[in-house]
Amino acid sequence: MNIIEGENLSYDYVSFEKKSGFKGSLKDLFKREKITVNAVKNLNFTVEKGKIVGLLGANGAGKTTLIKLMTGILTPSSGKINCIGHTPMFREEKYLSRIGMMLGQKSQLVWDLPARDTLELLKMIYRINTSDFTERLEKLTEMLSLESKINIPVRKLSLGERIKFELICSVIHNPELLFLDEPTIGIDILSQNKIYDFLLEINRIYGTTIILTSHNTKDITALAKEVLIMKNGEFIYSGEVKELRILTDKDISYTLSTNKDINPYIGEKGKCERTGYCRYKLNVHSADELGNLNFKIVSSVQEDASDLDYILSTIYSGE
Amino acid sequence: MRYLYIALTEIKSKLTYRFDLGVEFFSKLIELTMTLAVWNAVFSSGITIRDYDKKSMIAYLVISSVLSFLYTFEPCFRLGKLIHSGRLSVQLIRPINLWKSGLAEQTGRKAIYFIILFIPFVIFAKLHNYFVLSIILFIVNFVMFYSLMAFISTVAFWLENTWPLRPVFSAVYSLLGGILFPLDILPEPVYRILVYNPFALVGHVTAKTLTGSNENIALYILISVFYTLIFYFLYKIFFKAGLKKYEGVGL
Repeated sequence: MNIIEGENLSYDYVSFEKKSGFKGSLKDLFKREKITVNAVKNLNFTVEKGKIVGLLGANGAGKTTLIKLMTGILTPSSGKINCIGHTPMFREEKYLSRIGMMLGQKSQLVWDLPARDTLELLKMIYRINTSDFTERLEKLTEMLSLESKINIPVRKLSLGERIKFELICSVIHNPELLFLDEPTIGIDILSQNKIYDFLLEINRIYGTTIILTSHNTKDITALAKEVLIMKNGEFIYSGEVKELRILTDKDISYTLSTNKDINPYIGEKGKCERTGYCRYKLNVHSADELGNLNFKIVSSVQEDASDLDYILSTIYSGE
Repeated sequence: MRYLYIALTEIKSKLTYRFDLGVEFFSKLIELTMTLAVWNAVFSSGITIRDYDKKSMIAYLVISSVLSFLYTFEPCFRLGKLIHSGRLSVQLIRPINLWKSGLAEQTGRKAIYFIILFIPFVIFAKLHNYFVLSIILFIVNFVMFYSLMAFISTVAFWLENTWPLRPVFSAVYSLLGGILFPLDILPEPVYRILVYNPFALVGHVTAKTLTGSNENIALYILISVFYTLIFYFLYKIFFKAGLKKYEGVGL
């Protein structure tokens, strides 16, 4: 079942071209060159309910505009978009109550008050009943280890703690559709892993559909199975992350941890090298080769995010 | 209920900064002392200006100065701050009305001043015959002034910075609102025109009402309601148009 459907979706806006130099600035005072920017061009796409989808692209590709169109902040210039059976541009209360958004760099927490106060405010705004709210808040703070921080003024929290509270704010009303913009920006690896576990858990328990934009490819490899890649307002790729490699014909790298210091790869097509005690690096051309691992001794398999960095930079640059 | 909670959250925020509250009171007190000193000098020769002697002028100026605590320009710059910080997006995806939440915030912001400063005046106003009408006028004026500020705030969609407008508003409010002097000391034809401007309604008219020397309260309430409706609809139109401009700023 599709939760988002975009049909010939476009968004244009008028901007100005600034002339350089002092003379140019003077000329600009009287007459400016108008240019029409096609931020999003004729997009056709669907997102299935319960999926975690990565929305990728270089700066200025149109990701932000697309999220604004999906959340109803912007009105499409042409085409249609339907999210959870609603047209976002009407910004109906029913629709807004069913979505959540977290912007890594735009806080919704009240700076001078403890996070509990913002959450209590959101409880009123989203009309969450008290028992649901208490139960959910307890669960969410426990998942992110924030129980002892909830009564501390936001301004005294660390960046990681604030980001985690931002996440709680965006899911406290149990939205069906969650938009995340750079959810791990500027935070340490431990906190990043907590956030990944948290998002995977709410996706599993509540079936929350998550649209994620991030320049940190680790976010994508850890969370999303599907990606939409944008360039100049258009989709240039839509599909599974693992299929991306076909586009660049590059091997996939995995970091393997084992419980015995023995090479766990028994296949012939790939290459597996020891990188440390009970740690190996596997290079294969296809994810199917993972079937040739001795899972009796493999304790974890982690896809290498730097591979995706390489693939994406190749795609973005159009090479 | 949720707007009441928005107001309560604002009260809690305001109470966090006790020192700021003190400084605000102190700076207003200095402003008032200076105005009183000027009028004290004017009245030192024992003259009366129109119907004002020294005592009634001081009463008027104290009340109008207290009122200026309540009618401030924060709502005028709220939208600009939201736009330039990008936090407007956060507000827009909440299932709330931005105009109403702004009013709730302003009410919360002013609640402490209302309690500390206004209660003595309510008790004072009880002495004359228009107590209920005075309270209604005050409430309607509060909403009307907020509506005016909210409407003006929509220029933020077109202007890069709205803060340069602040001294302009202060000057207009002080002059047209009757904060520096009562408007009825001006020539009669000028006063007849000025008394119906929105700033005079929240300044001069409210001050006169609270001193018990105003009899057309019902008329002023009607005018204030009329202004509120006009400013509200203008806000809606300009906000909708402005939102179309809100595109280039990243999330």
